[in-house]
Amino acid sequence: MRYLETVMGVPMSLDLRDPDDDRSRAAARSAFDLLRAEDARFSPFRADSELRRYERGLVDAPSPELAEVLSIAAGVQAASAGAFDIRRPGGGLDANGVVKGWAVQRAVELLRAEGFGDLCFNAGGDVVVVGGPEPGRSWAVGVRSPLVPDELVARVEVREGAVATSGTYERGQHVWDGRTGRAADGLVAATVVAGDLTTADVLATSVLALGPDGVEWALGQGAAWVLAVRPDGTLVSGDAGQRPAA
Amino acid sequence: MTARRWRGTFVYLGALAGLAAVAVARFGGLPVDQAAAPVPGSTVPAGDTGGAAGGSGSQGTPDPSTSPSNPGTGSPDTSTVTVAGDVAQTPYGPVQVTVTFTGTRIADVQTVQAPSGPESSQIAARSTPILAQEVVDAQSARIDTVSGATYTSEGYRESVQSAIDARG
Repeated sequence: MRYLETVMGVPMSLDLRDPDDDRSRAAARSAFDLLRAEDARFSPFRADSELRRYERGLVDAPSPELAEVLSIAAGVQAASAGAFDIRRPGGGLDANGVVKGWAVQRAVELLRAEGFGDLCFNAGGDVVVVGGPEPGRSWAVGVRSPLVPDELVARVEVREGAVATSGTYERGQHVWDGRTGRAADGLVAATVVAGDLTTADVLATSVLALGPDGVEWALGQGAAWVLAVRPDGTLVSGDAGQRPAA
Repeated sequence: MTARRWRGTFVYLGALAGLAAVAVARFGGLPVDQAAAPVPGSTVPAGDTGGAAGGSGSQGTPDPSTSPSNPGTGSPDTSTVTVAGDVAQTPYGPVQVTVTFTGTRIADVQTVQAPSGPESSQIAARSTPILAQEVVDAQSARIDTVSGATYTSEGYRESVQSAIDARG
């Protein structure tokens, strides 16, 4: 059964392979509730969100959630030599690059803790899967072509993990290279497969910011597989399984 | 189209592991059991398609050749590159794959070496989220969901994901 809601301005689709009964519906509801709560906490559009108040120096003791998101952001910023940066070039914080993947991963953990073992959560193009759609089959995740909306550039089968894509084709060049403060233009899209969506999401954004060199970099940061598309449509890919053993 | 250009097309096809793969993931074949839509811009006569597809198959000779641009029509993304991955020593044995790209599409992935023994391959498969970046044959492509750059509600209506959600 699929449950659809728009949270964080993004259509989210939760596919639970359990029967559509009260238990499933309640679980889906609590997952979306969690996402709405984190949206309220981190919303850049609400002056009273914890993030906005933190920005203005009005938060003495950040919540564990804010502390965790800031710590994830700081970690990726350091690992990417500054290419990934939640500080906007014009001042202020944009935690979107961390919050969505992190919050969706938490929602999935919640569902798993409640015993849901076969599910697929697609948050506006970022995907977490557990188990499979049916016995003996893994979830098949298509990766959309940045150039042609109804074509795929790859299909990956994932039993447990996340697939995140960052690209310039839906919302324009909203990713900048934190090292230069300018729009990142070396790639039009980057897709990362990793064990969880928190990792996949920040790595996909970082690869987009870093450009083609980010592919190899991401493999050293927990990515299992990376696919990047250059503006001319050519691909760069990397597979952690093909790297020489460390 | 000149004869020379046609030859170029044929060589280009031969380099592919199967032309069906060019139709890779066209969503003509996605949600239901639709027949594969013809590839727009393809200038290849149907007969040649069959021949080439039956030809090189998955011999998987790493051939880092790049054909020049498609002599065909407006299709922007048709250069073919086959890349042999390094042999990776995994806890389960050596793994090597060869990936064929056609423009922006992964046309084929051939496993050159994989750990032997059913048990070890199962472990190897589980150890990595990717079981295969396999050929997405338009007829057999089964896609449960689609990853793409974050779309807004407006973009969603146009997205393949909305079609998948509508189906379920």
